[in-house]
Amino acid sequence: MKTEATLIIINSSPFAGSSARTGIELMLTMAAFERPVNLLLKGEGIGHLLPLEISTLSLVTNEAKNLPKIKNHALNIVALPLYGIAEIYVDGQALNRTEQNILHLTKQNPALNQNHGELILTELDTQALKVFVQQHKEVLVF
Amino acid sequence: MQLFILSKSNPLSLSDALSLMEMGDSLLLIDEATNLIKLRDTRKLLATLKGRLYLLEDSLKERGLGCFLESEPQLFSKDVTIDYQGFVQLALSHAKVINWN
Repeated sequence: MKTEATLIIINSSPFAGSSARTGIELMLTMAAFERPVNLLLKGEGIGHLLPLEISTLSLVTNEAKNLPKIKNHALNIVALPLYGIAEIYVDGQALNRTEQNILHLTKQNPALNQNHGELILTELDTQALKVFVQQHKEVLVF
Repeated sequence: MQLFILSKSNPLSLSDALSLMEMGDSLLLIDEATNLIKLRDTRKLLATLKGRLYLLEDSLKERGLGCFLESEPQLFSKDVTIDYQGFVQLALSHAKVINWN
């Protein structure tokens, strides 16, 4: 973990406006200029790791498979190793709320699997998450 | 010392912010987030706050929320409201400011 880094917290769902996208774009810009940056997916933000079928399932059960294919938001996340961001931190409580875990997510989402371990997802419990946020001098929430 | 600023009336965001706070941290509610003091459940949440609570005076006045301060004097102390000058001082007195959405 780069503690001198800026911490970007994505706390909003991929479907809730442009906030999360702005955060991801800021992070990619910072990484492109070699500014150290860490990413934490918190609360609704874990939706960025879910494949389309799962993330939509929570909104419209049973009809998800019939929906037209739209962009898989995880594709943005899996591009991160190209920018030197190899690790993503994930809110464990949010995973529990949606009955998910890292292993399950990686199995379920082909986009996350493509990297064969290049992208590490690290789950943080409530206490670890609190310490993690405290360790960063700059924190931006999207 | 961290200053968490909430601007949206979202109980889940409040709960999230509170879970990250320690003694010595502060929580400032501005704009729509001041509406959170209207709800009994969110007032209960605010009572679990480990640090200090501040409310932006103008946001309270705009929404006519002053009466809620009198109903729970234990939760809302006399110096809970701050003006814009206080807002700036608060931001300067904390090592880190987190705009929590």
